[in-house]
Amino acid sequence: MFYVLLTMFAGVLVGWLLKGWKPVGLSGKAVSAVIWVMLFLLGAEIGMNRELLRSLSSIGLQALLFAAAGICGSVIASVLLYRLLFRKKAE
Amino acid sequence: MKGTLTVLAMFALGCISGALGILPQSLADGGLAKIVLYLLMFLVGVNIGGNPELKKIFGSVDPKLLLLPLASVFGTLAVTALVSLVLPGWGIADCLAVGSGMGYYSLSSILISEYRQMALGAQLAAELSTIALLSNVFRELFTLVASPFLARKFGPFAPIASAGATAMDVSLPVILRSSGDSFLAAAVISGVICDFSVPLLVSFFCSLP
Repeated sequence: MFYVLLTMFAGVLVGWLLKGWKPVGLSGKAVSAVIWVMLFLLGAEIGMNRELLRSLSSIGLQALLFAAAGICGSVIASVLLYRLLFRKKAE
Repeated sequence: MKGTLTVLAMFALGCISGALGILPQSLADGGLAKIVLYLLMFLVGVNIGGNPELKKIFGSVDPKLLLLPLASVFGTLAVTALVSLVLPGWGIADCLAVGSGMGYYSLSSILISEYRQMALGAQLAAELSTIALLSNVFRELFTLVASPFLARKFGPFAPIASAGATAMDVSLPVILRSSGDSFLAAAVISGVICDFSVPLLVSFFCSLP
């Protein structure tokens, strides 16, 4: 895992040094393309996994629960932050 | 939105071709996925480092705005940790790894499937990464649909917080429409910082026992 993060920071450095070079500007598109490949592979792993396929509906429900938790938590925190620090300025 | 649909379509295509058994069995162990992961992380880095707006975006902004992504991340993690009480199958570290995806579904699910194997075994890690993928997709879709409501009811920061890492790209247009154009810097800063936190936090929580 250390090496993955190191790879990312190497990328940050390369991107920063080569800023303005045309291929660097295309890196966003390249990220999307690689993500597609990656997700195809991830899907393939899941599709080949009979046990996982059988529990797909339970997985969907758990995912909904996680999404609701993340949204609630972040929205509550943002309301607190806004009231504490920013509201006075707007008034 | 179109990007999200493409991503879901690729994922579904992979699932279906995997289930039909038309792919070589060697794909099932994730060796190729690991190589592609390195490529992906490098490109994510290049994309962040090479952003010509990077300095401009961070140069002239109210430093207090940096608290917004922190609030968004901490709020997410605090409530997501509670999910482990409801779903006894997952430990706190598992739940936090899913939560710290911050809407960046592709990267978080990929990282979890690779790095949670040590603690959970391949089967449960695959299950958790599928949960991470879907929950972060749901979060993005919810933000896209509900931003006007969130802004009206909970203030202009709410859609940005809910968007997480997607505040700077996919969700940006709907945030500007809901919260107002003056929140551009807040949204982009929050998105960039959340984006950056995803690989760090997901891999950190995956490394916990």
